[in-house]
Amino acid sequence: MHLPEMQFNVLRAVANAGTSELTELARALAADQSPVAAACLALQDAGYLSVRESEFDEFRLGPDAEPFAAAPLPERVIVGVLKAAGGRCRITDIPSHCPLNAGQVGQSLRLLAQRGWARKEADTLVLLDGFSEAAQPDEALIRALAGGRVARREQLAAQGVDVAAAAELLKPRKGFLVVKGRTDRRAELTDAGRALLAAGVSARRSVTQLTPDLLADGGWRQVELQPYDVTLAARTLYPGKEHAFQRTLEKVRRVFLEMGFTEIVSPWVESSFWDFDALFQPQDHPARDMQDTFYVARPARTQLPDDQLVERIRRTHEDGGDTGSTGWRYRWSREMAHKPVLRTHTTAATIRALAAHARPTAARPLAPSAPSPGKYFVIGPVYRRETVDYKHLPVFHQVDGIVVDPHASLATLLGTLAAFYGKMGFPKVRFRPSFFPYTEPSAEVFLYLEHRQEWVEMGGSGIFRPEVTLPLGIRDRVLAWGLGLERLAMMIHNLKSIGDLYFATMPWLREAPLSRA
Amino acid sequence: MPIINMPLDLLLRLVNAGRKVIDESQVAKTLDHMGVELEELATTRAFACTCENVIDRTEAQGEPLNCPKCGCDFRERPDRLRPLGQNHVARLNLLAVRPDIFDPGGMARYMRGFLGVRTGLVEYPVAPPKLAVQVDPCLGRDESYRPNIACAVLRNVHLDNERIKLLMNLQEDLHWALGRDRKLASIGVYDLERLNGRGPAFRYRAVEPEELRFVPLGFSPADPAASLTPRDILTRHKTGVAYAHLLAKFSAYPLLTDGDGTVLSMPPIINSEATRVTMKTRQCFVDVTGLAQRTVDRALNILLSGLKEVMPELEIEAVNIDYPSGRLVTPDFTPARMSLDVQTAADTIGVALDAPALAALLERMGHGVEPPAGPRATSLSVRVPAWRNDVMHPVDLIEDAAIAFGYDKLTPRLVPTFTVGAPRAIEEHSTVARRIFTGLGFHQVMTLPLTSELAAFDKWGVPHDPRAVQIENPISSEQTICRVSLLPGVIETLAINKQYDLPQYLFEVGDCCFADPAAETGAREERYAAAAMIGTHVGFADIRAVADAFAREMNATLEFRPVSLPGFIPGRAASLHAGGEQIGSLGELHPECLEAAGLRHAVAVLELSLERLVAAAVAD
Repeated sequence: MHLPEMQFNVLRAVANAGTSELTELARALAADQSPVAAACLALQDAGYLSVRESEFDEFRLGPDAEPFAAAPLPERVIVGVLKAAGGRCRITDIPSHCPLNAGQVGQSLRLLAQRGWARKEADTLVLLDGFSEAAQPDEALIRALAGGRVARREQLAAQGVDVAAAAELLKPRKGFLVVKGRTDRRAELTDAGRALLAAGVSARRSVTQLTPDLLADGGWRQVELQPYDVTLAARTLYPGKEHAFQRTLEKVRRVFLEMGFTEIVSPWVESSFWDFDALFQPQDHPARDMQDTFYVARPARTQLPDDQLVERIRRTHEDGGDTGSTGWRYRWSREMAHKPVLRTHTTAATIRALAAHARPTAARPLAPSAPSPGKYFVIGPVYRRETVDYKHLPVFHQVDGIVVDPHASLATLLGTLAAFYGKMGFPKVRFRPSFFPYTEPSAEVFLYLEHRQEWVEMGGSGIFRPEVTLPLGIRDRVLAWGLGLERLAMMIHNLKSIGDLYFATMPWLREAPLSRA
Repeated sequence: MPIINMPLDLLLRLVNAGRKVIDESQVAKTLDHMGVELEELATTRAFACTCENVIDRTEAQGEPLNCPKCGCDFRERPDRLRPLGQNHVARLNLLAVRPDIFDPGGMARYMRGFLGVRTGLVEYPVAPPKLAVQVDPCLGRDESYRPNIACAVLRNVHLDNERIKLLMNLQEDLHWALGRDRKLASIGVYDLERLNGRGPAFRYRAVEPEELRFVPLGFSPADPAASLTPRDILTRHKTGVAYAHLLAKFSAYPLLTDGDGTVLSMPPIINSEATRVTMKTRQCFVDVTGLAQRTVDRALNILLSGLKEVMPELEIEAVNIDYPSGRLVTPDFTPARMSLDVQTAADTIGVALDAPALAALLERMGHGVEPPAGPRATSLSVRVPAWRNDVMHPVDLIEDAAIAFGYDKLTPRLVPTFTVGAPRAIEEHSTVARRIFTGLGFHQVMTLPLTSELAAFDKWGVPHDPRAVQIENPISSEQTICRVSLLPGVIETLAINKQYDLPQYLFEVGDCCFADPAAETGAREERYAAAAMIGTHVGFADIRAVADAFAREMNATLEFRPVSLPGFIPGRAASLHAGGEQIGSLGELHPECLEAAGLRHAVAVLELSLERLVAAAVAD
């Protein structure tokens, strides 16, 4: 039979000494108390030792009592003065006859009365018959504990100190006596322990770290791998992480890829032509005001697409061209279309994709009048001239998508968006009729937030107007939507302010759980 | 978008017309189905100023401090403010495309149709013209360009506080929605009895800035100093100053007078005091001037049709507008005719609809529809109300039909067509880049793509990059350019995190933007990757190791060349080269930069063009 080294040593020591107190045991084994206690506990669990615990009080003098180990208490001094003065003395005169000051004398009056040694009569202190020269229990205790001695109740009692009376007397004096409740642990061999020793037992080394050496030479077979408290907390670790908003953007991206969409892009600096004109936004539309849109000073001017397309857009704005529309009936300015802006929506990307879709390519050699179906999406920053607050920044992200399809309808628009948000984890979606300049019909999209019990608006959608699609050469209907992503991310990641995304703190970067996207 | 208070009592009274069709509890849901954005249902208190302006205030807003119309300060003159009592209102977000439904009359007309109380095209009788307005050819010329006008006469007018408020609100809303704050259209309403309504034609003409004088609205006619020239009005009158920019580039100003020369108004700035409408007014003259006949006609039609709904006793009389090119009679309520293909409409909405069903939907939206020949009719002939400003194409009728059908009654479904999705390559590369950095224990940050020359260059002692895209009309001094480097944003993130545990390892993968004459729009984005490390023991070797790992994982070869770069400690910076070109740099930040950022530990950084690194890797 093997035991871990410490347990073996403890067992043997207890066997040799009979009943052993644990601190003494540790001293005898020249070991720290905690491994000895742990070994005792393990031996007790195994049934080889029994550990009996008993509570006891431990007494020692407080800092204020130490001076009186050698000198008499103030009451004793005052009694001396009274005796010398014939049994009575004016209280104010006492300090002139002894080393005590007026304060100390004053503090002693109650104690003197308590002991029955002296009584205050007006301004005079009178010695009483109850006075005793014999050392009182508190004086005896102070003397017994002099020099920093620590003693138990029974040790003091053996010296003749009435501990209970002394403690009662010292109670009004703060800082005189320190009493600590302690536990006495005594280990005793059980029958099983005695049987084990009789049967023969040897020690085995206990190790914490399983080292390469122990593995290399098989030494692990001879040692005890010390068990740990596996419930203890460990230090905090954080993996390197993608930003929480990035994870949401990635999820949006993955969902559209899963749904068969092709990812597209368009420049941040965009011509007014693609940002507004191609979307049938009249040139005097308020959205084009300097108030709402960032215009760009450098570069000062953008190129425009081929003249035929520009001409078709001009005519559509002015009188509807060939689209069957009345148009806006104003004079369209080519110069305004050249003006660069920071794109105000990612619809600039989808409208460019739509124009490209209409052009036959090697991969899609169809006539422009009947291009094949297509699905496109774009995720990226857009820019609006917004004042910064907790839900607005001058830049935010959108996902825009389009579906070019002969089956495109309001019903399939709602179905596509419901499928997207369902995959994003929002099964409840609602649509409200709305009005946007370049879609008809139009719908606003709302998500139901279970934890807030409310509907939240996420963005706009609709079917591109013929004034948008026909000049590009697209004859099918085109579903389109532009949805804000910061608001979605703030809902997913429980953020109060949009700034939390862009001015992130380390604790949030480290702690935002990866499982949440 | 402005928010308007729609008085619910009046609205429901007009909709219900003695029957019980809808009550207040159903208003919110109905408006939602109609596509009207309801901010809230609220209780407001109405107050009247002695100038007859009525001010609506919600509970939260409390009593008004001054009159927005005459400017009277009620704290000094409490006697001029009179409470009129409470109103239940629907607070609505005003939609620019439907100015015809943002007055109680127009909204009641829409709601009545929508709920099926009275469907089809509403017709308003118009009496033949007795009055004419002569339009001076000058108005069509560049020196005084406001060529178009539409007018009407209103008889049997009975006004009270509520109706005056309604008239004012309708005017204001139209100025916003159609008029672009009076630029494209502005409306005037005048007391016709103060004018010569039986004499020679009124005149819409252009005058020199000092040609004449009149007393503008809000000034006392008794005060001889109140008679102002048009120039005085633009420089001295409150409203004149506020709208002076609309006439700034002209040398002659539009003026409307009666046949005797009494001034009605100086459009689009101000009316004359003499023609002011009061509760005693029994006959009105109305004008809308603007830059296009279509706009002024629509504004007039919306105003008149809305008023007629609220004041059924009102008699509308036409006015002859005599342009140099010929005569026009306004208002013209002739509906526009549009043909709608039944199948296209059904397919666009995504439901099965035959001609009678579609016709019924359109009638509920206030359109007139010729009775279709039968369920098999392939098209409908639709008469579109003359107050609708948003119907430009049959597709607009389809939207109306869809709203009447009910979006919530549609079954959402997917298009059945199969398509193959495809990611963009640079996004896939970026995913790999982020995976490398997170694997190395870095945390990603996302910083704003807009910055300023101060934050991007000056702060770090780096020269301005002439390739930075510059915003012409920034909204704040902190966002004046597009970023050309990710590093300033990443270092700023270290700065806002200096109280947290070190070391901190951050990275960003994102676009920078550069003006580039070769690009179609004059600028282009490029995908960059940047990393920064801060800590007690961080140094050049650490960031060099990161750069090595990054290049290795991207399957690219990086070459390091010693370089002297502003912002870096001399001798501790290197430029990065791949595929024969410089693609980035790395090194230890100069203590001056650390001081500028308020950082107290060494920082090592790395930035490179991911696009160029990928290109070089492919080339390998």
